[in-house]
Amino acid sequence: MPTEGLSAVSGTQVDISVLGLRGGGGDWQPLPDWARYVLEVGLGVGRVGDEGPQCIHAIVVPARDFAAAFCAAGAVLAAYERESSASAEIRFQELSALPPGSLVTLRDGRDRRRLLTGRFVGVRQAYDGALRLRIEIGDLDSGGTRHQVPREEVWRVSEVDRKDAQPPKQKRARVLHAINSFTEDVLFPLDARRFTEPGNPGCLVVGSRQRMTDEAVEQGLMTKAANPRSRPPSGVLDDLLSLEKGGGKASRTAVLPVRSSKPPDFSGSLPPPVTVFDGANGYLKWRDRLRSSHAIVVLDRTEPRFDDAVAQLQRDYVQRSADPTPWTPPPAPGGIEALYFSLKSS
Amino acid sequence: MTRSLSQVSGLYACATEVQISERLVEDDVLRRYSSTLNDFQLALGEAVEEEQWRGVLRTLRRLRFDALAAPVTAEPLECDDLHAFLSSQRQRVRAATPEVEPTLVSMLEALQRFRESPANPLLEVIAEVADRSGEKTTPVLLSESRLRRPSQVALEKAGMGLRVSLMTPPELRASSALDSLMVLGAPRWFPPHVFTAPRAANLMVVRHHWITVDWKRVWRASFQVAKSEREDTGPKPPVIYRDRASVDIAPGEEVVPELEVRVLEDIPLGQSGADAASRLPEEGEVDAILLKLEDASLVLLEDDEGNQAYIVDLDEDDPIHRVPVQEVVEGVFILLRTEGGGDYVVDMANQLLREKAFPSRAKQDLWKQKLRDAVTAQGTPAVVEELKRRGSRRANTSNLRNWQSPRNIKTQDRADFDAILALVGLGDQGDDLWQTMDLIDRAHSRAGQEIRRRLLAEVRGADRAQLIRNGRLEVELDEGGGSLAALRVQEVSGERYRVLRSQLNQVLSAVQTSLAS
Repeated sequence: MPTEGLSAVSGTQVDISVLGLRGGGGDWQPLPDWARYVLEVGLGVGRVGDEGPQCIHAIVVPARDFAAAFCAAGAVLAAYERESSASAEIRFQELSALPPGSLVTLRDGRDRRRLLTGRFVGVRQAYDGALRLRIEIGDLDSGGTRHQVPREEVWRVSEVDRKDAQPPKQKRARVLHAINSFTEDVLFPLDARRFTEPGNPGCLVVGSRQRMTDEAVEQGLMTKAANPRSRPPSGVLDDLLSLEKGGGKASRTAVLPVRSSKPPDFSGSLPPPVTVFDGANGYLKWRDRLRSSHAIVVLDRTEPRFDDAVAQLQRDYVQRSADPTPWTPPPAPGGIEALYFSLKSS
Repeated sequence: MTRSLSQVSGLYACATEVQISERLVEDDVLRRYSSTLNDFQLALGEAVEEEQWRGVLRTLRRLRFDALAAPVTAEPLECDDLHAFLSSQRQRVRAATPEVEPTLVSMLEALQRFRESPANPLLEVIAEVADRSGEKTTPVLLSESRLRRPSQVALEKAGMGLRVSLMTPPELRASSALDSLMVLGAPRWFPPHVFTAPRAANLMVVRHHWITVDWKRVWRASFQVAKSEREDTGPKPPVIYRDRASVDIAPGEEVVPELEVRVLEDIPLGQSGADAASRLPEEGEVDAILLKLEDASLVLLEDDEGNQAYIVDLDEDDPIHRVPVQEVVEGVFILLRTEGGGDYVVDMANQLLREKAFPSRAKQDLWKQKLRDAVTAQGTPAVVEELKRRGSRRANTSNLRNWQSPRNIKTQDRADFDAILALVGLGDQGDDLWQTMDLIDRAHSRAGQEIRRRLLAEVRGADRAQLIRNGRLEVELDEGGGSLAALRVQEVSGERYRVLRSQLNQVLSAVQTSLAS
C-alpha cells in the first residue's frame, strides 16, 4: 500500500519542519511553500529505497532557481537516514553492552540542543516488546529523571570518555557544542558527526555545477529553536548538500554537467539512489543512461526545450506501472504542476 | 546571475496570483487594410504561390503584423514601393485575370490610406499607462525582437524613450517579478510561458479588438493526463478583465499572423520535406538545416554528421561548445559569420598557414577529388573492397563518404591514407601528402582553440543581462577570421532543405528575403 506524505519508511527520520530561512533580522522564517514542497519531494523519493521499479517525479515550476538544490538536499537527508538506520542496530548493541553505571550524555528529546549528562543503567523491554536503553539523569531522589531511548533514537546517546568522571548529582544540561550545530539540528536525532565523513553520495544532480554552488551558499537558512529565548543556529544549503569540492573531501551530492561526454564514475561507492535532472536538456540527454536511480525532473516553463521534455515524460508515463506508487507526494502548491509515477520493471 | 530566494518566491506568487486585463483598441484603417489584404489573397487564389506575388504579399502581411504587434505605423517608403509595384501589375492583371482587378484596386486604396494614417493606438495606450505610472518605467513586451528597434524609435519620437522598457520573451526568463507588464498583441504570438509562468502579477494584454483570443488554450496543463492522475490541478486560468467586448468578426477577417512570423517553411529557400528527400542531390546541392535567429534572420547549415558549429549555452558551466549542427537547439547562441559565408574555421586555419595555405589546400583537394572520381567510376562497394585489398583497415561505406568530404582533412590511420593514395595513383607522394594534411590538421586545431578563446573572452566580458536582451554577441577574431557574431537560435526547422552549397552559412534577413523573392 502506498503511504501518505513522508512516512514511507520506518526508522529514524529527520524533521524538516525545523528548517527555515534566516530573515534579515536574524529571525527564523518558514520556508516558502514551493521550497518546502520540493524539499519534501526529494526526501520522499529518497525514502522510497532502491528496491522496486524506478520512480519518476516531474515538477513544472515557473523558475528553476533553488528547486533542484532543495530536491537534492531532501534526497541527501533521506539517504543519510537510510545509512544511519543500517548502523543504528550496531550502535544500539554497543551501548547495550556498556557496564551499568557508565557515564553517558543524552540529547534532550524536546530541545535537541540541550545535552544532559547521566548514567546508563541497563536495557529494558518496553510494553511493545522493543528494547530500550535506560538512562538516569541526576539523582532520582533529588529531582532527577529516568529516560528510555528506543533503537531509532540511539544517536541521542553517547558514552563519556572519562572513566573516572562522576555524574552530577542534579539534572544538568548544557548547550551542545558541535562542529556545525545547524547540520546537527537538521539531522537530529541522527548522528551528525558521521555526515561529514566520506560516504556514498545521496544524490546526483544533472545540471550546472556553478549554479548549484551559487545557490548552495546564497541563501541563509536556520533551524527553529525549541526555546524561543535561544539563538537558533544558521547555515546554508551546502551544509546539507555537501557538494563535491574535489581534493578528497567528503561529498553527499555529485553534479554531472549536462554537456559532459561521459557519465559519472561511481566506482568505489554506490550510485546515488536519486538523480535530480535540473532542466529539460539534462533529462533529454541523460535519462536513459541513469535509469538505475529514481528521478526527479525539474522543468522550467520558460526553458526552450520545455515542450520536448514534457513530451518525453508523457511517453515515459505511458510505460508506467499499474501498481500503486511507493509513496504519495503532498499536494503541489500554487505555481507548480507535478506528475508522479513508477515505471514498469524491465 | 542568481536570483535570490525571495525573488524566486516572487515569481511563484506571480504564477499563483496573476491577474490579466485586456485592453482592446480600434483602428478602422488598419482593420480595413487587413480585410482587404485577405480579400486580395483570396482573389489571387493559387497565384499567391507564384514568384511574382509571393514576396509582395509577404511584405504586405508583415506591415499588417507589425502594426498589430508593435507601436509602429506603416513605413512610408516601403508602402510607396509596394504601391508602385501593385500599380505596375494592374494592366497585366486586367488582361490575365480581370476578376482580380477590383480587389487589386481596393488593395491599392487600402494601402494608401494605411500609409497616410497617423493612428497608432498601441502607442496611445502605452502613453496612457506610462503617464499613470509616474516616475516608474513601464515594461512592454514585444513578440518579436526585430520589432524592438522601430518601436524604440516611435517611443522616442513620442517623448517616451526613457519611460518605457521594451522587452522580448527571452528576457523574461531571467527576469525577477515586475509590478506589471504590458503585452502587445495576441497571446498566441508569444510563448505560453509569458502567461503560464508570468513575471508580473498584473498582465495587461493590449490588442486590436478584432483579433480573437482563446484563453482556454493558453492555460492547458503541461501534462495531458487525467486530472485524477495528477498531483495538482494544473495552472489555474486567471480571471480575465476586459475593458470592452470583442467584436464579431467576419469570416476570413481574422488574421493568422503567427503563420507569417513563425513558420520558417514560408521562406522560399529551396525544396523541402519529402520532395527533396525523394531524389538524390545534384552537383552543388546539399541537404540543410534551417535556423531562425535573433532579429528574424535565418541561416542554412549543412545537415551532415561531420558539420560542427560553436555554440554558447548560458545555462552551462562551460558555455562554449563545438557540437554537430544537428544538436543545435533553440535558446543557445550559434557562432556565425555576419558578412559573407564560408566556414570561419577553415578561413582562420588558412590565415595561420599563411603562404602554405594555397598549396596545402590544393593537395587536399587533389586526393579527395581523385577519390571522388574513383567512387563515381567504380561505385562505393568496389572502392571499399579495393581499399581493403590495398591495406586499409577502416574502409567502409561511412568512412569512405567522410574521406571524400572537404570537411574531413585526413584519415586517422596512415594505412588507410596510403591505400587511398595507391588507389588513385598518388602512391609515390604518400609522405608529402600525409605531412601536408597533418599541417592543415594542426592549423585547424589552433584555429579552433583561438576561436574558442576569443569567444570565451567575449562571453565572460559581456553583460549577461545585455546579452539575453540583445540575443547577439559580436566577436572579432585577430588572425583574419573576420567579423563573427553569436546569435540566439529562436527556432530550428523540423524540415530539411535541398539547397545550393553557396547558400550555406550565410545570415539572411527574413524580411529582406521576403522582399527580394
